[in-house]
Amino acid sequence: MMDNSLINVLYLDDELHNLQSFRATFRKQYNIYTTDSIEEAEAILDNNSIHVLLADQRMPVMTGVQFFEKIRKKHGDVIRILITGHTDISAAIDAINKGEVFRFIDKPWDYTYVQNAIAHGFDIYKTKTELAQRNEDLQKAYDELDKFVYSASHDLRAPLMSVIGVVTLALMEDKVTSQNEYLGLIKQSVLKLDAFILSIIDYYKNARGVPVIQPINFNELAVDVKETIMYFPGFDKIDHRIIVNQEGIFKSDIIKLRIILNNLLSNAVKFQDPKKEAHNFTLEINASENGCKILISDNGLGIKEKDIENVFKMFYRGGNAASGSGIGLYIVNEAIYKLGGKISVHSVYGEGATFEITLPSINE
Amino acid sequence: MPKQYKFLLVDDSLLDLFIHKKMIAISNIAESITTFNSAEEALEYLQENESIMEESIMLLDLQMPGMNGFKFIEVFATLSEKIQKALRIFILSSTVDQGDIKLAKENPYIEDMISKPVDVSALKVKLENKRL
Repeated sequence: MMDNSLINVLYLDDELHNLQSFRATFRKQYNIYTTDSIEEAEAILDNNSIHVLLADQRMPVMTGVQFFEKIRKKHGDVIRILITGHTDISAAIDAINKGEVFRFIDKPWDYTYVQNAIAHGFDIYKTKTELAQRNEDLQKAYDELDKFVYSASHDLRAPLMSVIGVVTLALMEDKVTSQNEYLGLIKQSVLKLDAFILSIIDYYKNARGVPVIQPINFNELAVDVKETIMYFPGFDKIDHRIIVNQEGIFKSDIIKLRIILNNLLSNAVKFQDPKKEAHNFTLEINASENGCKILISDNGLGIKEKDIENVFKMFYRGGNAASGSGIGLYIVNEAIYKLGGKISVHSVYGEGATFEITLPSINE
Repeated sequence: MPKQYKFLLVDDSLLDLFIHKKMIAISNIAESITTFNSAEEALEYLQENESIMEESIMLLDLQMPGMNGFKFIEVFATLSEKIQKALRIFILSSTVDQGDIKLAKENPYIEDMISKPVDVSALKVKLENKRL
């Protein structure tokens, strides 16, 4: 049974005893508003989210159909039901064409008939609202897709254009001695392209992949992630500490956790501050059967104050020439959101950055 | 000897700066080539060198972190007439975004748009065409 208490019904009729008997009959089922005044009915519509509106056809100031016509522009979503004492064909035509009524109800009204009309009316109201919401979501998804395609195509093409540039340059030069240098540059570009393609795959897995919830062994996960990033340029120059305290069984989606840690740790490796003599990062994980807290801090370049609120936005790149495509932290943020967790970042530019993540254990 | 120009290259990619600088150098059309790793750096240079500004060709990337190419043009439009007259700006980008391409073509401060990597002989022809 549907919960009818959520249905807001407004009944407009100039005969007070009709209003009273309607209220008496249905007050337990619906949230009822009644009035005999056009102005008050409009005010009720303005100030409440009315789902179903019933109006008597024969009223002194204006007819029910005229009232429907009047409010249709402003409150088009409201389902309109006309109550009429005698069936008059021209009134019926007006009601359908001008008032766009959903149902007619004959006086004296039949309890079940009214109940059904309201229930069906509300169903239509709900379906329409859901459809509007879906359309809005769809539009948002389209907009994101547009942005994604343009930005992704740029990030895919840019390294390729660099490769073509290097090749053209190599062909322009007659010296064979510089060829190795050019090959090195091509390699650099190809690696960049590959890293971007891998992050796109991460993005896809995160957005569309089916989550696999399983008990997480954070020691194993940390080793796993370390093995992924240890071949990155600059890893040999950075000291690292990994601290894992785990008690009890923590369950989550291993793929998303790996994406989160991979991105944040590779950032720690990538954004070392060349002005400093020693580089380090720390990964600290405290987990229990309720949840976990992950801290990742480094003494790297840090994030400028004006960039901090934007770092998790898609394709936002801080003003650092070494910065990537601006997709890594976006994916991290999305993954954490999907796992029901939170991430925050603290940074002083030039001193380093700390990311703090809290995640609940997902126990079905 | 072909006509020699002063070049200012603006790109967030050090690799692209390197490639374009070398290409232009080999093509023997440059009196000087100055590179900037960000639009902010280029802007600073223009302001500091206003008094000694000579005709220069700027090859400006569009998608850069921080100040992008279009934002640079916005600020450029507020600079002194002397700087604006001296500088011929060409967008050098790998963008395929039709919106960006349209914006660049319509912008009065942008002389033309070139795709990466730069085709120097085509650029030479564009440079020899006096601006409108």
